[in-house]
Amino acid sequence: MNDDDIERAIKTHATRYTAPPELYDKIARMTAAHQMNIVHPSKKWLPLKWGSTGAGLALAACFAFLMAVRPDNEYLLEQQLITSHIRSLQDGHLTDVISTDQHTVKPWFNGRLDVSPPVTDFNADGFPLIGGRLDYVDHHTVAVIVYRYNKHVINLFVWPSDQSKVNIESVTAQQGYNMRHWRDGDLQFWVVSDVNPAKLTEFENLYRGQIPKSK
Amino acid sequence: MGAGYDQHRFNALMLPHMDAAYNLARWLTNSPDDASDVVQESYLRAIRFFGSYRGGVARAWLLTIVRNTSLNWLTQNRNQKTVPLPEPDEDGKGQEIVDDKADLEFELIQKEAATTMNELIKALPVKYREVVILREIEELSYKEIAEVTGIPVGTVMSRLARARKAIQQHWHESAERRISK
Repeated sequence: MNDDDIERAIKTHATRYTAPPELYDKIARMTAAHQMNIVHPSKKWLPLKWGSTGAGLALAACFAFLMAVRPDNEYLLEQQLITSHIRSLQDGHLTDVISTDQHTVKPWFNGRLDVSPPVTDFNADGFPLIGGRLDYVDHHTVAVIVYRYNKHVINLFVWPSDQSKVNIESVTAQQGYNMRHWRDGDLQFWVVSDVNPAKLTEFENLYRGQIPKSK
Repeated sequence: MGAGYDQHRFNALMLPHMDAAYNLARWLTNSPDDASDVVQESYLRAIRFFGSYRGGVARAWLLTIVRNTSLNWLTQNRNQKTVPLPEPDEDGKGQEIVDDKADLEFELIQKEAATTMNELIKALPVKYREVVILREIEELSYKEIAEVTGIPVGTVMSRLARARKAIQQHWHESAERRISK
Protein backbone atom coordinates (compact mmCIF):
# COMPACT_ATOMS: atom_id res chain seq x y z
CA MET A 1 0.00 0.00 0.00
CA ASN A 2 1.56 3.30 -1.01
CA ASP A 3 0.90 6.95 -0.28
CA ASP A 4 -1.65 7.39 -3.04
CA ASP A 5 -3.68 4.45 -1.78
CA ILE A 6 -3.94 5.75 1.75
CA GLU A 7 -4.80 9.20 0.40
CA ARG A 8 -7.58 7.66 -1.62
CA ALA A 9 -8.73 5.60 1.35
CA ILE A 10 -8.91 8.69 3.55
CA LYS A 11 -10.77 10.67 0.91
CA THR A 12 -13.20 7.82 0.32
CA HIS A 13 -13.93 6.80 3.86
CA ALA A 14 -13.44 9.80 6.15
CA THR A 15 -16.70 11.58 6.87
CA ARG A 16 -17.22 15.04 5.47
CA TYR A 17 -19.57 16.61 7.96
CA THR A 18 -22.06 19.18 6.78
CA ALA A 19 -23.47 22.11 8.71
CA PRO A 20 -26.93 21.46 10.14
CA PRO A 21 -29.63 23.57 8.41
CA GLU A 22 -30.58 25.32 11.64
CA LEU A 23 -27.00 26.49 12.06
CA TYR A 24 -27.07 27.88 8.56
CA ASP A 25 -30.26 29.79 9.32
CA LYS A 26 -28.89 31.11 12.57
CA ILE A 27 -25.74 32.42 10.96
CA ALA A 28 -27.59 33.89 7.99
CA ARG A 29 -29.75 35.81 10.47
CA MET A 30 -26.64 36.90 12.31
CA THR A 31 -24.97 38.34 9.22
CA ALA A 32 -28.14 40.25 8.42
CA ALA A 33 -28.42 41.64 11.94
CA HIS A 34 -24.89 42.97 11.79
CA GLN A 35 -25.61 44.92 8.66
CA MET A 36 -27.89 47.11 10.68
CA ASN A 37 -25.66 47.58 13.68
CA ILE A 38 -22.09 47.83 12.61
CA VAL A 39 -20.17 50.62 11.07
CA HIS A 40 -16.44 50.30 10.78
CA PRO A 41 -14.98 53.76 10.65
CA SER A 42 -11.31 54.23 10.12
CA LYS A 43 -10.17 57.54 11.48
CA LYS A 44 -7.50 58.09 8.86
CA TRP A 45 -9.48 56.84 5.98
CA LEU A 46 -12.68 58.78 6.47
CA PRO A 47 -11.53 62.36 5.95
CA LEU A 48 -9.15 61.43 3.14
CA LYS A 49 -11.58 59.59 1.00
CA TRP A 50 -14.87 61.17 1.79
CA GLY A 51 -13.43 64.59 2.34
CA SER A 52 -12.46 65.15 -1.26
CA THR A 53 -15.80 66.63 -2.23
CA GLY A 54 -18.27 68.88 -0.52
CA ALA A 55 -20.82 66.14 -0.23
CA GLY A 56 -18.12 63.88 1.09
CA LEU A 57 -17.25 66.42 3.74
CA ALA A 58 -20.83 66.65 4.87
CA LEU A 59 -21.02 62.87 5.01
CA ALA A 60 -17.77 62.66 6.93
CA ALA A 61 -19.06 65.22 9.37
CA CYS A 62 -22.17 63.11 9.85
CA PHE A 63 -20.14 60.02 10.58
CA ALA A 64 -17.77 61.90 12.83
CA PHE A 65 -20.75 63.11 14.80
CA LEU A 66 -22.14 59.59 15.13
CA MET A 67 -18.74 58.28 16.15
CA ALA A 68 -18.30 60.96 18.78
CA VAL A 69 -21.65 60.10 20.30
CA ARG A 70 -20.92 56.42 20.56
CA PRO A 71 -17.54 54.89 19.80
CA ASP A 72 -17.90 51.76 17.78
CA ASN A 73 -15.79 49.53 20.03
CA GLU A 74 -17.54 50.46 23.18
CA TYR A 75 -20.91 50.02 21.56
CA LEU A 76 -19.98 46.56 20.32
CA LEU A 77 -18.64 45.61 23.69
CA GLU A 78 -21.81 46.71 25.42
CA GLN A 79 -23.84 44.70 22.92
CA GLN A 80 -21.79 41.63 23.68
CA LEU A 81 -22.20 42.10 27.40
CA ILE A 82 -25.94 42.52 27.09
CA THR A 83 -26.15 39.46 24.87
CA SER A 84 -24.17 37.50 27.42
CA HIS A 85 -26.38 38.81 30.21
CA ILE A 86 -29.55 37.84 28.35
CA ARG A 87 -28.15 34.42 27.54
CA SER A 88 -27.26 33.94 31.19
CA LEU A 89 -30.92 34.37 32.09
CA GLN A 90 -31.87 31.31 30.11
CA ASP A 91 -32.01 27.99 31.90
CA GLY A 92 -28.68 26.44 32.67
CA HIS A 93 -26.57 29.28 31.35
CA LEU A 94 -26.20 31.40 34.44
CA THR A 95 -23.37 29.67 36.24
CA ASP A 96 -20.74 27.04 35.63
CA VAL A 97 -20.08 26.80 39.33
CA ILE A 98 -22.98 27.35 41.69
CA SER A 99 -21.98 28.39 45.13
CA THR A 100 -22.79 31.06 47.61
CA ASP A 101 -19.38 30.48 49.14
CA GLN A 102 -16.74 32.91 47.92
CA HIS A 103 -14.07 30.38 48.86
CA THR A 104 -15.49 28.01 46.29
CA VAL A 105 -16.06 30.51 43.51
CA LYS A 106 -12.73 32.30 43.66
CA PRO A 107 -10.51 29.20 43.39
CA TRP A 108 -12.76 27.93 40.63
CA PHE A 109 -11.54 30.74 38.40
CA ASN A 110 -7.91 29.95 39.15
CA GLY A 111 -6.43 27.74 36.51
CA ARG A 112 -9.22 28.64 34.12
CA LEU A 113 -8.15 32.21 33.64
CA ASP A 114 -5.14 34.49 33.82
CA VAL A 115 -6.97 36.70 36.24
CA SER A 116 -8.18 36.01 39.69
CA PRO A 117 -11.03 38.39 40.36
CA PRO A 118 -11.99 39.28 43.90
CA VAL A 119 -15.08 37.38 44.99
CA THR A 120 -17.05 38.31 48.07
CA ASP A 121 -20.54 37.42 49.14
CA PHE A 122 -22.65 40.51 49.89
CA ASN A 123 -25.64 38.61 51.20
CA ALA A 124 -25.82 40.81 54.29
CA ASP A 125 -26.19 43.83 52.03
CA GLY A 126 -28.87 42.24 49.89
CA PHE A 127 -26.62 41.05 47.06
CA PRO A 128 -26.08 37.32 47.60
CA LEU A 129 -23.37 35.57 45.58
CA ILE A 130 -24.84 32.96 43.23
CA GLY A 131 -21.78 31.58 41.47
CA GLY A 132 -19.44 32.10 38.55
CA ARG A 133 -18.96 31.21 34.94
CA LEU A 134 -16.63 31.83 32.04
CA ASP A 135 -17.71 33.79 29.02
CA TYR A 136 -16.11 35.11 25.87
CA VAL A 137 -16.23 38.85 25.35
CA ASP A 138 -14.13 41.21 23.26
CA HIS A 139 -11.65 38.48 22.30
CA HIS A 140 -11.09 37.52 25.90
CA THR A 141 -12.24 34.70 28.05
CA VAL A 142 -13.67 36.57 30.95
CA ALA A 143 -14.70 35.77 34.48
CA VAL A 144 -18.32 36.39 35.29
CA ILE A 145 -19.31 36.58 38.92
CA VAL A 146 -23.03 36.24 39.39
CA TYR A 147 -24.98 38.01 42.10
CA ARG A 148 -28.62 38.54 42.76
CA TYR A 149 -30.63 41.43 44.08
CA ASN A 150 -34.14 40.24 44.97
CA LYS A 151 -35.16 38.51 41.77
CA HIS A 152 -32.73 40.37 39.57
CA VAL A 153 -29.60 38.77 38.26
CA ILE A 154 -26.43 40.85 38.33
CA ASN A 155 -23.60 39.75 36.08
CA LEU A 156 -20.18 41.13 36.87
CA PHE A 157 -17.67 40.66 34.04
CA VAL A 158 -13.98 40.86 34.85
CA TRP A 159 -10.95 40.69 32.59
CA PRO A 160 -7.52 42.28 32.31
CA SER A 161 -7.77 45.89 31.23
CA ASP A 162 -6.33 46.87 27.92
CA GLN A 163 -4.28 49.98 28.65
CA SER A 164 -4.37 51.07 25.05
CA LYS A 165 -8.08 51.65 25.21
CA VAL A 166 -9.71 54.72 26.64
CA ASN A 167 -10.07 54.48 30.33
CA ILE A 168 -13.48 55.74 31.25
CA GLU A 169 -15.92 55.04 33.96
CA SER A 170 -19.37 54.96 32.56
CA VAL A 171 -22.97 54.33 33.19
CA THR A 172 -25.14 53.30 30.33
CA ALA A 173 -28.61 52.04 29.78
CA GLN A 174 -29.50 49.92 26.81
CA GLN A 175 -32.45 47.79 25.94
CA GLY A 176 -33.75 48.09 29.47
CA TYR A 177 -30.47 47.01 31.06
CA ASN A 178 -28.19 49.17 33.13
CA MET A 179 -24.45 48.88 32.99
CA ARG A 180 -21.57 50.26 34.94
CA HIS A 181 -17.96 50.11 34.00
CA TRP A 182 -14.81 50.79 35.97
CA ARG A 183 -11.21 49.77 36.31
CA ASP A 184 -9.09 48.80 39.28
CA GLY A 185 -5.44 48.10 38.84
CA ASP A 186 -4.95 45.65 36.01
CA LEU A 187 -8.57 44.61 35.84
CA GLN A 188 -11.62 46.04 34.20
CA PHE A 189 -15.12 45.46 35.41
CA TRP A 190 -18.48 45.64 33.72
CA VAL A 191 -21.64 45.03 35.60
CA VAL A 192 -24.92 44.40 33.82
CA SER A 193 -28.36 44.05 35.32
CA ASP A 194 -31.95 45.17 35.10
CA VAL A 195 -31.86 46.58 38.64
CA ASN A 196 -32.19 50.35 38.77
CA PRO A 197 -29.09 52.51 38.32
CA ALA A 198 -29.02 53.56 41.98
CA LYS A 199 -28.91 49.93 43.15
CA LEU A 200 -26.25 49.16 40.60
CA THR A 201 -24.12 52.00 41.93
CA GLU A 202 -24.66 50.67 45.43
CA PHE A 203 -23.46 47.28 44.27
CA GLU A 204 -20.43 48.83 42.58
CA ASN A 205 -19.49 50.70 45.75
CA LEU A 206 -19.81 47.53 47.82
CA TYR A 207 -17.72 45.56 45.41
CA ARG A 208 -15.05 48.19 44.97
CA GLY A 209 -14.90 48.64 48.72
CA GLN A 210 -13.84 45.03 49.22
CA ILE A 211 -11.03 44.95 46.71
CA PRO A 212 -8.15 46.13 48.89
CA LYS A 213 -9.05 43.65 51.61
CA SER A 214 -9.16 40.59 49.42
CA LYS A 215 -5.90 41.29 47.56
CA MET B 1 -18.12 51.52 3.95
CA GLY B 2 -15.51 49.93 1.75
CA ALA B 3 -13.21 49.01 4.61
CA GLY B 4 -15.96 47.42 6.63
CA TYR B 5 -18.68 44.93 6.60
CA ASP B 6 -21.09 44.58 3.77
CA GLN B 7 -23.64 41.89 4.38
CA HIS B 8 -24.15 40.96 0.75
CA ARG B 9 -20.48 40.75 0.01
CA PHE B 10 -19.87 38.84 3.22
CA ASN B 11 -22.69 36.39 2.54
CA ALA B 12 -21.61 35.81 -1.04
CA LEU B 13 -18.02 35.13 -0.02
CA MET B 14 -18.36 33.36 3.31
CA LEU B 15 -21.69 31.54 3.57
CA PRO B 16 -20.84 29.01 0.82
CA HIS B 17 -18.02 27.71 3.04
CA MET B 18 -20.13 26.89 6.05
CA ASP B 19 -19.92 23.15 5.42
CA ALA B 20 -16.14 23.35 5.27
CA ALA B 21 -16.16 25.43 8.44
CA TYR B 22 -18.42 22.97 10.20
CA ASN B 23 -16.46 19.98 8.97
CA LEU B 24 -13.19 21.36 10.34
CA ALA B 25 -14.76 22.40 13.65
CA ARG B 26 -16.49 19.04 13.94
CA TRP B 27 -13.24 17.17 13.42
CA LEU B 28 -11.27 19.36 15.78
CA THR B 29 -13.79 19.46 18.63
CA ASN B 30 -15.13 15.91 18.18
CA SER B 31 -18.60 17.10 19.04
CA PRO B 32 -21.55 18.25 16.93
CA ASP B 33 -22.71 20.74 19.56
CA ASP B 34 -19.29 22.25 20.10
CA ALA B 35 -18.79 22.42 16.34
CA SER B 36 -21.99 24.44 15.95
CA ASP B 37 -20.92 26.83 18.69
CA VAL B 38 -17.46 27.18 17.23
CA VAL B 39 -18.80 27.86 13.74
CA GLN B 40 -21.20 30.47 15.06
CA GLU B 41 -18.47 32.17 16.99
CA SER B 42 -16.16 31.96 13.98
CA TYR B 43 -18.68 33.71 11.75
CA LEU B 44 -19.14 36.38 14.38
CA ARG B 45 -15.40 36.95 14.38
CA ALA B 46 -15.34 36.82 10.60
CA ILE B 47 -17.94 39.59 10.47
CA ARG B 48 -15.88 41.71 12.83
CA PHE B 49 -12.60 41.08 11.06
CA PHE B 50 -14.07 41.30 7.58
CA GLY B 51 -12.44 44.69 7.13
CA SER B 52 -9.08 42.91 7.21
CA TYR B 53 -10.02 40.44 4.47
CA ARG B 54 -7.89 41.40 1.49
CA GLY B 55 -9.37 39.18 -1.16
CA GLY B 56 -7.70 35.86 -1.81
CA VAL B 57 -9.16 32.49 -1.05
CA ALA B 58 -12.21 33.14 1.11
CA ARG B 59 -12.37 29.54 2.28
CA ALA B 60 -8.80 29.61 3.59
CA TRP B 61 -9.45 32.95 5.29
CA LEU B 62 -12.56 31.61 7.00
CA LEU B 63 -10.94 28.30 7.92
CA THR B 64 -8.10 30.18 9.61
CA ILE B 65 -10.63 31.74 11.93
CA VAL B 66 -12.45 28.44 12.45
CA ARG B 67 -9.20 26.66 13.19
CA ASN B 68 -8.10 29.23 15.75
CA THR B 69 -11.52 29.36 17.36
CA SER B 70 -11.58 25.56 17.57
CA LEU B 71 -8.17 25.43 19.22
CA ASN B 72 -9.17 28.17 21.66
CA TRP B 73 -12.29 26.20 22.38
CA LEU B 74 -10.27 23.08 23.08
CA THR B 75 -7.91 24.79 25.46
CA GLN B 76 -10.62 26.72 27.24
CA ASN B 77 -13.56 24.41 27.39
CA ARG B 78 -12.23 20.97 27.87
CA ASN B 79 -9.16 18.85 27.98
CA GLN B 80 -8.60 17.36 24.61
CA LYS B 81 -9.34 13.69 24.63
CA THR B 82 -7.17 12.00 22.08
CA VAL B 83 -7.28 8.28 22.19
CA PRO B 84 -3.98 6.58 21.49
CA LEU B 85 -3.91 4.73 18.20
CA PRO B 86 -4.93 1.10 18.73
CA GLU B 87 -2.03 -1.25 19.35
CA PRO B 88 -1.12 -3.17 16.21
CA ASP B 89 -0.61 -6.57 17.87
CA GLU B 90 -4.04 -7.10 19.30
CA ASP B 91 -4.89 -9.56 16.58
CA GLY B 92 -8.31 -8.13 16.13
CA LYS B 93 -9.51 -8.96 19.61
CA GLY B 94 -12.07 -6.44 20.68
CA GLN B 95 -11.71 -4.62 17.41
CA GLU B 96 -14.65 -6.14 15.56
CA ILE B 97 -17.37 -3.66 14.97
CA VAL B 98 -19.41 -5.58 12.46
CA ASP B 99 -21.67 -8.62 12.91
CA ASP B 100 -20.46 -11.82 11.27
CA LYS B 101 -23.70 -12.32 9.47
CA ALA B 102 -23.59 -8.89 7.90
CA ASP B 103 -20.03 -9.36 6.76
CA LEU B 104 -20.87 -9.89 3.13
CA GLU B 105 -23.01 -6.85 2.73
CA PHE B 106 -21.03 -4.35 0.74
CA GLU B 107 -22.74 -1.43 2.35
CA LEU B 108 -21.88 -2.58 5.81
CA ILE B 109 -18.30 -3.11 4.84
CA GLN B 110 -18.21 0.42 3.56
CA LYS B 111 -19.78 1.57 6.76
CA GLU B 112 -17.25 -0.25 8.83
CA ALA B 113 -14.48 1.16 6.71
CA ALA B 114 -15.82 4.65 7.35
CA THR B 115 -16.08 3.97 11.06
CA THR B 116 -12.54 2.65 11.16
CA MET B 117 -11.16 5.54 9.14
CA ASN B 118 -12.99 8.11 11.25
CA GLU B 119 -11.68 6.52 14.42
CA LEU B 120 -8.14 6.50 13.11
CA ILE B 121 -8.26 10.18 12.20
CA LYS B 122 -9.99 11.05 15.44
CA ALA B 123 -7.21 9.34 17.36
CA LEU B 124 -4.55 11.56 15.84
CA PRO B 125 -3.28 14.46 17.95
CA VAL B 126 -4.85 17.73 16.84
CA LYS B 127 -1.76 19.04 15.08
CA TYR B 128 -1.76 16.02 12.79
CA ARG B 129 -5.52 15.80 12.52
CA GLU B 130 -5.92 19.35 11.29
CA VAL B 131 -3.52 18.88 8.36
CA VAL B 132 -5.23 15.63 7.37
CA ILE B 133 -8.67 17.26 7.35
CA LEU B 134 -7.49 20.35 5.50
CA ARG B 135 -5.61 18.35 2.91
CA GLU B 136 -7.59 15.17 2.31
CA ILE B 137 -11.13 16.35 2.96
CA GLU B 138 -11.00 20.07 2.24
CA GLU B 139 -8.35 19.61 -0.44
CA LEU B 140 -6.48 22.78 0.39
CA SER B 141 -3.04 23.27 -1.13
CA TYR B 142 0.03 22.96 1.11
CA LYS B 143 0.44 26.69 0.89
CA GLU B 144 -3.14 27.29 1.99
CA ILE B 145 -2.76 24.85 4.87
CA ALA B 146 0.36 26.71 5.95
CA GLU B 147 -1.64 29.92 5.83
CA VAL B 148 -4.54 28.51 7.84
CA THR B 149 -2.44 26.86 10.51
CA GLY B 150 0.39 29.37 10.63
CA ILE B 151 2.99 26.63 10.34
CA PRO B 152 5.65 26.45 7.60
CA VAL B 153 4.92 24.50 4.44
CA GLY B 154 7.73 22.04 5.22
CA THR B 155 6.19 21.25 8.58
CA VAL B 156 2.77 20.87 6.99
CA MET B 157 4.22 18.29 4.62
CA SER B 158 6.10 16.36 7.26
CA ARG B 159 3.10 16.29 9.59
CA LEU B 160 0.93 15.12 6.78
CA ALA B 161 3.40 12.37 5.92
CA ARG B 162 3.56 11.19 9.52
CA ALA B 163 -0.20 11.27 9.87
CA ARG B 164 -0.71 9.32 6.66
CA LYS B 165 1.82 6.78 7.78
CA ALA B 166 0.11 6.29 11.14
CA ILE B 167 -3.27 5.95 9.47
CA GLN B 168 -1.89 3.68 6.79
CA GLN B 169 -0.39 1.24 9.25
CA HIS B 170 -3.55 0.80 11.25
CA TRP B 171 -5.77 0.94 8.22
CA HIS B 172 -3.81 -1.86 6.64
CA GLU B 173 -4.10 -4.00 9.75
CA SER B 174 -7.79 -3.42 10.13
CA ALA B 175 -8.29 -4.24 6.44
CA GLU B 176 -6.50 -7.55 6.96
CA ARG B 177 -8.72 -8.31 9.88
CA ARG B 178 -11.77 -7.58 7.80
CA ILE B 179 -10.58 -9.88 5.06
CA SER B 180 -9.42 -12.71 7.33
CA LYS B 181 -12.72 -12.92 9.18
